Amino acid sequence: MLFKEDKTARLDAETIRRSVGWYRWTHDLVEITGKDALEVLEKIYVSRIAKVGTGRTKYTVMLNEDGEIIDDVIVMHMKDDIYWVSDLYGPRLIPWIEAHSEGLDVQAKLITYDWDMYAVQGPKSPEAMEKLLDKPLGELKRFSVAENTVSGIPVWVHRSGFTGEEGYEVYCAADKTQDIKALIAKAVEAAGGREIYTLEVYVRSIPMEKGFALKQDYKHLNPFECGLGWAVDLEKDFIGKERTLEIKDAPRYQMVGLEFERESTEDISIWERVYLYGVEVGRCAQAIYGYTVDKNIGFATVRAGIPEGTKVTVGPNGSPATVTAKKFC
Amino acid sequence: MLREKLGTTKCFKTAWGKLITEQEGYTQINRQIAAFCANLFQVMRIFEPSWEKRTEAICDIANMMNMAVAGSPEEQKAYVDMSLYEAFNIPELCEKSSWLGGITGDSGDEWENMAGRVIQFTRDRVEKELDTCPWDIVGSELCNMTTSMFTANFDLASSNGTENEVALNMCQARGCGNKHCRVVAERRDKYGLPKQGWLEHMQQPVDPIHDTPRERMVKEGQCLRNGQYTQAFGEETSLEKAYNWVAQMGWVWSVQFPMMAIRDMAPDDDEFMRVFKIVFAAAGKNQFIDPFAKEGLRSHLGVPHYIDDNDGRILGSYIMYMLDVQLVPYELERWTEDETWIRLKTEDFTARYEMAPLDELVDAYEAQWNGAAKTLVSPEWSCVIDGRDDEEMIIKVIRREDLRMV
Repeated sequence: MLFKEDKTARLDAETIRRSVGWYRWTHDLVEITGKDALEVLEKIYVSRIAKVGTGRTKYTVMLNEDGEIIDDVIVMHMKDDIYWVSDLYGPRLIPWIEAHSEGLDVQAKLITYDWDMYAVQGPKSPEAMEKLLDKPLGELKRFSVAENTVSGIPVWVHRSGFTGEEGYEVYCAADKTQDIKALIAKAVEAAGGREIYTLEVYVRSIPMEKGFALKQDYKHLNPFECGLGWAVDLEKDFIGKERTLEIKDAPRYQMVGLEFERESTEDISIWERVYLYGVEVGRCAQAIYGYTVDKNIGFATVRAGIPEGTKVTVGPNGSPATVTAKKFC
Repeated sequence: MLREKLGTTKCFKTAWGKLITEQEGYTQINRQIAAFCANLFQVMRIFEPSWEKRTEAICDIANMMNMAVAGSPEEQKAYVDMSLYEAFNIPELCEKSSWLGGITGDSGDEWENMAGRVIQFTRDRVEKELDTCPWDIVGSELCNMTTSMFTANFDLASSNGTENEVALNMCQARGCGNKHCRVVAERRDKYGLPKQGWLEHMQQPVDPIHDTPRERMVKEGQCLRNGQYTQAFGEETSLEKAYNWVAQMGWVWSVQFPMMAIRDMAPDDDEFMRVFKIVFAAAGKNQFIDPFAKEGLRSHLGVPHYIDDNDGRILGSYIMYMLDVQLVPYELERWTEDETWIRLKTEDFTARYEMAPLDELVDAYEAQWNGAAKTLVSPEWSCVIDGRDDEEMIIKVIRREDLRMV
């Protein structure tokens, strides 16, 4: 829970939006190898992974047979037939892959504990990265990953992030993490930035302002019900496709943004009920304070067809809110 | 058309056919365990007049029992990894240290319908504010005891072996007469705080607390409001799972742990049991001393008007209701205007949590229901539990005068 008056959280948010901040951002990491790796990835993810060339990465989602999102990940094509999947549910991904790779040459291994990752995010992140890296970044495109070194220590640099700002993710071997951490802190400070302390700012508040959701926000939703239809390649087969085609034509729900009127949202927990004229029409995935927009904002799953601008109430005390797009700034 | 409108919801039926929903049962069990705990604490206050001594004693035992899951350092690490981090899916991006013990505390509160919220959750500080608590009738000894259990959570989550890095203060406790219950954990190194003893956990935190405006407080926990508890990282617990957890572990932490210390406060086992039964018998008599309490129960259970006030089945149906609420299976063996016999496996009644049987439940409920017989039905009636040392026991509501009322 974040509050308007929280000075540290506000400074953290402002640092990411106006300067550059760093924080440990290690996700579960699953390495997928084998000559049939691509075939399995095509089957379990909705996007065309074959289009992701070596050194490129892609955000995509995984569905169950009912067409509901059960995971969202970044697939990184590291080398020929070697993919990394950055995920928050790695230990659950491996059995899913195993269940859908019978007879195929695929190996999936959890490498979370081998690699640490640090995020360097904000408009001044290129400057910080130039100070950090031994070799220039060059023309590293968004959603690209490349090898580099930091004071001679090998790292992977991924141009991406979860803030909606210019940003990078630096992967280093776990046994080098303390060295890399110190060097990142120094480079970011030299670029005028600082460490970001508040978990809820970089996991929730900052991403939500830009419309970035967590897997848990997509509960029971199909990509076509939460603005992720762009990620779906309907020309290929994938788990949940049949149901996806049905939902595409007749979505049941929609994921929306909420702007709250009250100064704080203490009575709104995760998955609080949303009411329209007193009738339950959905659930609020989470509410949080956004320091850039200076408002309490949230994501909600509501009945399809409720337009932006609709006044609803949330939670046991009828907290008033307005339905908006899920990108707030 | 009417059939299409008939939905399904989880419930059980009282002896008179009225349906009690899962939500009602869950609310009732939390309050029932709290009431049992309140009675038990009266026993404690008789044996130990010093608030400080009895508080320290129950804190010691509760902390020790919570830590007992850890064992050796290797076992402790396994416990933390499997039972805490994995169970709650705490992502790798989080620093794994004491402050994550706050997640365990928060889930425990919500599973037991302690309605509130985590105000702050950072690596240096965790603040939890509670608006309501079913245990608000027990007293501040229990509030302190929960800090000792909380300490164990923080110790187990610590990245520095089994000693946590935080100062933990229950800076507002309803048991002390304050409206709120609020727990704040602040890193000792960050805030320059000393390590605490058991009686030093009710101080004020360093950083100011957040006070939720009254109009934004909540009256029920997430499980009742939303049918589930979802923690900060998105992991969910259903109402059903929370209910089952309470039906097992609620007895363990709020009854069994303090019971161990309270037994030691008594001069001997016989004296403990004598006082224990007297307290529960008095509680039972007082349950239905007011006529409107009887009326309320009749309405709640759906007792028909043709059932006379002096019919033992009213108590029999109350006992069955209480067993259903507590998820204890039983069979009705006799159900006449002269007697009610309820047969159940002794282990089902005493060992709600298999690993920690609580034989005193038989003594307590026998005394309480026998006391209740006098006011809910009439002094012509008694409740006895036969066969407590056998595999099966029978709870009997029978016509029997009790000349000495003991």
